[in-house]
Amino acid sequence: MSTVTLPSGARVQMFGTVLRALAVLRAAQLAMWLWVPVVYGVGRFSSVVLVGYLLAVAWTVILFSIGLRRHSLPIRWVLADVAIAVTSAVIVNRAFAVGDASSPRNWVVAPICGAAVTCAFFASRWIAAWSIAAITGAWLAGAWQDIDSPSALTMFSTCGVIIVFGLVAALAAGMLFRAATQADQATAAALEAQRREAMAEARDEERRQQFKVLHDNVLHTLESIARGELGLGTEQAREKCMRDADYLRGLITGAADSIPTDLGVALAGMGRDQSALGLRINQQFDGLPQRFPGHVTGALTGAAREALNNVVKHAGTGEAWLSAYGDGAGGVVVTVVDRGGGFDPEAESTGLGLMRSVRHRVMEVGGKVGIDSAPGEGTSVEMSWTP
Amino acid sequence: MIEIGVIDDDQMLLQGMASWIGGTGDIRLTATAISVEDYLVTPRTPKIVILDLNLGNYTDPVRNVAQLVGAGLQVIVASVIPDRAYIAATTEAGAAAYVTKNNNLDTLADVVRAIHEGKTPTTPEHAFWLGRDNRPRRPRLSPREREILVAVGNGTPHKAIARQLGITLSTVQTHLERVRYKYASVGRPIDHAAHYSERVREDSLGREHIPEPSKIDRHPHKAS
Repeated sequence: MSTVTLPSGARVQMFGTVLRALAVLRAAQLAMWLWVPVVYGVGRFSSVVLVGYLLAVAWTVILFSIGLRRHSLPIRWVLADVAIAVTSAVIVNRAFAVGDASSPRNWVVAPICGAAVTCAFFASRWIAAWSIAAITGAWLAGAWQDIDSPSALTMFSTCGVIIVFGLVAALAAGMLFRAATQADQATAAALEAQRREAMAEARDEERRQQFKVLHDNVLHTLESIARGELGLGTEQAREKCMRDADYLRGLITGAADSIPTDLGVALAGMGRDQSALGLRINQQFDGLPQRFPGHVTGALTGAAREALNNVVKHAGTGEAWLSAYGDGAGGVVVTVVDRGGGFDPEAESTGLGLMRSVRHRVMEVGGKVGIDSAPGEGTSVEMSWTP
Repeated sequence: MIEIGVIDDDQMLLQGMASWIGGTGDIRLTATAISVEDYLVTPRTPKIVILDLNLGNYTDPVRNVAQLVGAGLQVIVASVIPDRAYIAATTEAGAAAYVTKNNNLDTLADVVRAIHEGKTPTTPEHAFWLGRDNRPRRPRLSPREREILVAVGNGTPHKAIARQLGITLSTVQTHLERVRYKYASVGRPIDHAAHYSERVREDSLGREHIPEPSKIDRHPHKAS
C-alpha cells in the first residue's frame, strides 16, 4: 500500500500552520527594530544598516508570501534564506560602530535567529545543523570587532541564542512531523479499510449473482434429471447437460486462483443462451480484468451475441468458439470464430449486416472491431477494448 | 485400427468411454487404469494414452506425463477445467496434445489420428492456453509464432490464418510445430528423474495446490 498524501492531509495542514507561525515570528522580529532609529536617531546608523534592513523586510515578504501560497517551503528557498542571513550577519554587523553590533541596536540578531528556526523546521537534520553553524559563524565573523569592547559577552551569548533557537525548533519540528505522519497513516488505513470492505461487498454481490444463475440453469437441469422428468440418454438431456457443462467451464476456466469476473460471467451466460439455439460453443476465458466498466461489459456481450446469432443464421455450422482474454493493462479482447461457410467481405450483404450490428455496439463504447472472412474459411470477429 | 488407453480416476467415465470411442470406427479403447502405475503394469499398454490432468490420487500431473513419456508412450492430456500453468508444464514434459473433456468425439478422434501419423497436433484449447502462458521461464516464441498460436487458440481455421498472414498452410503448421518443439526442448529437457525436480523448482510449480491426503478434512461438517 502506498502512503496517500491528500491535499487536506495532516502533514500539509501542519506545514501551513508552522509557516504562518514563522511568518508572524519573522515579522515581529523585524518590527521590533523600528523603535531603534526613533530613539537613537537615524544618523547614528550607516546607510548599509538602513538599506540592509529594508532589503531584509522585502525578502521576508517575498519568502513567506510564496511559502504561504504553496503551503510548503521548497529547500532552495530555505537555503536562500540561510544565505541571506549569513550575508547580512557579516556585512551589516561590520557596518555598525564598535560595540553596537552586539547590542539591542543591531536589527540583524532577531531575523537570523528566525532563519535558523525556519531552516530547522523545513530542512533535513544535517542541512539544518550546517546552516545553523554557518549562521552562528557568520554572526561571530561580523561582530568580531566587538571582542575588546564591553559588549563582547553579549556577542557570545547571541551565538548561544541562535543555537538554542535552532535546536528547540528542530525538536518541535520532529514532534509535529511524527504526529502529523501518524495522523495521515491512520486516515489512509481507515480509507483502505473502507475500500476493502466495499470491494468485498461487491465481490459477494457478484458471487450471489453467480449462484443465482447457477440455480436457474444448472441446478434446474440436475433436478429435472433427479426427479426423472428428463430421461437420461435422450438427445434432449444430452444437449441440456452439454450446455450446462460448457457454461460451468466458462465460469471456472483460467488459473487455479482466478476469480470469476463480471465480464466472464456475462459472456458465459450469454454463451449458454446462444447454445440453446443449437450451437456448440467452445468457451475460453482467461485473465479478464476484475474491475471492468459495466456498460462495456454490456456492449461487448451484446456484440458477441450478435456475432453468434450470425453464426447460427448464416455460417451453416453447429460449432463456434467464444474466447476472451485480458491484455494485462485493463483491456480485453473478445473473439467469436466459426469454421462455417464464410463470406466475401467485399461482395456480400450478410457481412455488411454483421459488421453494422457488431461494430455499432463496440464502437459506441470506444472499442475496435476486426472482421475477417472468406468463402469456405469461416468468419472471425475480434472485438477489443482498452481503457 | 488405432488402439488407445485411458488413465482416469472416474470409474463411470472409464466404463462409458469404450463404447463412446468405438463410435469412431477406426479407434478402439483397449486399456484403462486409474493411475499411471496401474497403466504401466497392465499386460497391454497401447502407445497412445489419454491422461486425466488431475487424477484424484494426489499425484503431480507433470510427473505423470514425464513418467508415461519416459516409458515411450504418447500422451494426450485431458482436463475438465483448464489450468494454464499445468497445461504449459505438461507440454514441456512431453505431452503430445491437450484436449478438454468436453465430449467432443470428432476433435478427440482427429487428435488421436494425427498422433498415430506421427504428428504433434495443437488443438485450439491447447493453443489458447499456451498463448496465455505467463510463467517467467516460458519458452521464447517469435512474434509470428505467438500470432499464429493466438489465432489457432481463438478457433481460427489454419487456412484462414494462412490467408490473413499471406503464408502457406504448411508454413502455419511449421510454425505450430516449432512452438511445440520449443516447449519440448527449451533447453530444459526432462530426460531422467533428476531433471524433473529441477523443472519443478524453476517453475515453482510443485504440489502446492494439490493438498496432501493427510491435510484433507474428510468430515467438514463435523468440524466446529
